[in-house]
Amino acid sequence: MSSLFTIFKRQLTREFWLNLRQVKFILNSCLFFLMITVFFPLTMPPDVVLLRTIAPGLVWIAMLLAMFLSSERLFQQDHDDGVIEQWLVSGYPVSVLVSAKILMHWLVNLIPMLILCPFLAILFTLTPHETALLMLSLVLGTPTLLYLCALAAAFSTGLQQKGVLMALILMPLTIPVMIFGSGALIAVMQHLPPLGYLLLLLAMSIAAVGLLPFAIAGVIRIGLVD
Amino acid sequence: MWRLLYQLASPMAFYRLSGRIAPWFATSAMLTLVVGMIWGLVFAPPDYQQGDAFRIIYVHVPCAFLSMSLYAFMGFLSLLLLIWRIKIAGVMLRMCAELGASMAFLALVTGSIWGKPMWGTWWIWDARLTSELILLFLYGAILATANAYQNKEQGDRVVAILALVGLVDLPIIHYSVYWWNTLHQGATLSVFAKPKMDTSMLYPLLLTLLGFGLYSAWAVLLKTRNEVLLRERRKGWVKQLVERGKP
Repeated sequence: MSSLFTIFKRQLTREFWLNLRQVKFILNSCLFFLMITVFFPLTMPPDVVLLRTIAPGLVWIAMLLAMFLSSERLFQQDHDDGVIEQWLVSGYPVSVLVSAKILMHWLVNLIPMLILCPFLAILFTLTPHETALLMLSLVLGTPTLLYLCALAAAFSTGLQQKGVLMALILMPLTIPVMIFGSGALIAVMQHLPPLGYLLLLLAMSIAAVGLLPFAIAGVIRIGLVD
Repeated sequence: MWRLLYQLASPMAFYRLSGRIAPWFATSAMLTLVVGMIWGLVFAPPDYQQGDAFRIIYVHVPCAFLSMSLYAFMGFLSLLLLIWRIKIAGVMLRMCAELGASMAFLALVTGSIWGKPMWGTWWIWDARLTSELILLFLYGAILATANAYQNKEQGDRVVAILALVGLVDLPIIHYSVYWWNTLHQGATLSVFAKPKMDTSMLYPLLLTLLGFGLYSAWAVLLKTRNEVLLRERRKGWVKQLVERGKP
């Protein structure tokens, strides 16, 4: 049996190459993110103050929806190929495998969004300081979002009407992250210190990354073994 | 004593025992609710500031309290199911979720009705109300997930994990009035301090709290008995019950 770290690294590499070879999915979520954030200024009165007011909430909502969309297929391909069954009988802790999968998924999905942030800053007239803080808050807060999306995906893999169930599960669990994430940018816009918000986001991410893999592994074990 | 608890894990033993104690819950719930409600709605003195409209407290507070304590009980049942694999806990989990969802909904609706004359608004995005709304959505998510699985025992275990993940919301609701500046009032009743409410209003509130709690226990027991019969319908004792009228 290989060590846990070797398994973790191997899973990370596998997921990296899988994601890179199917770039269309990442492009899909980026386009969706862009669509939401571009359509709002298009469909509302071109008032700079208005756009700056809605920017924090809007970016976070768009991020949540993009992550939700991309995580629907998180376990689907592996479930259909039988890889998940191999996980379950391999004897390795499924939480480690799941954690590596989601971590790589997070990296691969987040970096394009971070690259898009300066573009958003131009759309919504954000200062460079605010943009930097937006990117930092996204880096700190999106692990929680993605791990929660992965939890919702684990619940609904193998079911038919998965979109509705996922959204319903995600709705209550992601509210704290969304409140603090957009709160950080709102605070910076009002020249208030955002440190408290950022630290809370970091705390939630650490808790999510540390504890949710066990819940996800449990759900996979129960839910995907008929 | 532990032997009794282990025996309770058997569906038939649970059915028999709950059949014996459910009438006690029903009668005591009825008594405390009738006495508490009439005392609170008719005999308690009107509030100096809110007048007679404060009486909705006798419905709002028990509903809110029960929505949270039922969720805490669901957390406990989830642990029983996942760690000790007691299947009855899984059945009861579903039924508590149904009752808890209605309690959370009622708490929000009665609070809304109370808020309109007192605060001037049906809704406000303060910490206590938002976190109770989160609890309602959590209940909704649990019920939707439970019904998404054809195999009910599998659904119970998946829902147990979801309930445990959502358990983190409970301290947030309870302490939200301390952590944030909020329009909703702070805690009037606590275990250690003197209650901030006059006894003439307090006693009916305690009675209705107890009454709602007993009612919930009775309702959950009855629903669990029903579901147990449904799931065990191929077993001999159920057939015997249906044919002869006694388990």
